[in-house]
Amino acid sequence: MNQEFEKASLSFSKAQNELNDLISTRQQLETQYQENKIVLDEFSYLNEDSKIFKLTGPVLLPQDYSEAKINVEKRIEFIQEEIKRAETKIQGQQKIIEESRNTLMDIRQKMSN
Amino acid sequence: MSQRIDLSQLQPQQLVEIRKSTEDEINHFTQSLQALQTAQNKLKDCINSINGMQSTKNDDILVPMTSSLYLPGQIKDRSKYLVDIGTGYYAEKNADEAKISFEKKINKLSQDSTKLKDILVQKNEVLNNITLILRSKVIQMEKEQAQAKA
Repeated sequence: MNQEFEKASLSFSKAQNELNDLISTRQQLETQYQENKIVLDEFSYLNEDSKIFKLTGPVLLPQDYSEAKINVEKRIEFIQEEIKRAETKIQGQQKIIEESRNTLMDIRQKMSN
Repeated sequence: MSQRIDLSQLQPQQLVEIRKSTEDEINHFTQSLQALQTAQNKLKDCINSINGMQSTKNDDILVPMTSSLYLPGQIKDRSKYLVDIGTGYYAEKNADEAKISFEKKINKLSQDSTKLKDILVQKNEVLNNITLILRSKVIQMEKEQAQAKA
């Protein structure tokens, strides 16, 4: 019985750690999303004639306005997809935690009886 | 608000835990607030250097190659600035446009700072409340113990 309880509590804390990891990934994605939104907003104040450069390693490479804008838009789309995926994962993980909490409670009740 | 009513019903151990998590939150927000202020100062430096460029006629400058190596250089054009617009992109702007874009960012940051400060005030109130309730609980417990002994 004791072993069973230990196993259940281990899997419970493992599930919780996984959830924490997922949540921090979600937060990172949010930061990236906000950053890219600011850049896209900046692009709306520029036009085709604006000179735009992209920092690639230590050098600034000239870039086309429309190309750069499309790039940022694509990136925002990609990040939104990633956020959706991260959120479904978080929901799944929350269910797993719920389940392992229930098994933990069951075992504890049996032990006290 | 409902939180505060609940607080006095809780066990001291629970209160200690809540106090710890509130303290963690306050630390986190204080750090964020400092980061916002550093960012604002950096942007202000940018505006200052544009203003400095416009106010002098001297074209000689020292260009930093690394943080400890400089080369003499000359300014070719005072009307063009490359502004970092985020995620590695830089856009060429004239002095006024550049200043406007920096000012906009500063404004956004100071709005965020105000919001953060409000949150911090609230959190500190909550923390004070918890500490007060906790203290009164401890006093009560001590009284009960003294009575039990007597």
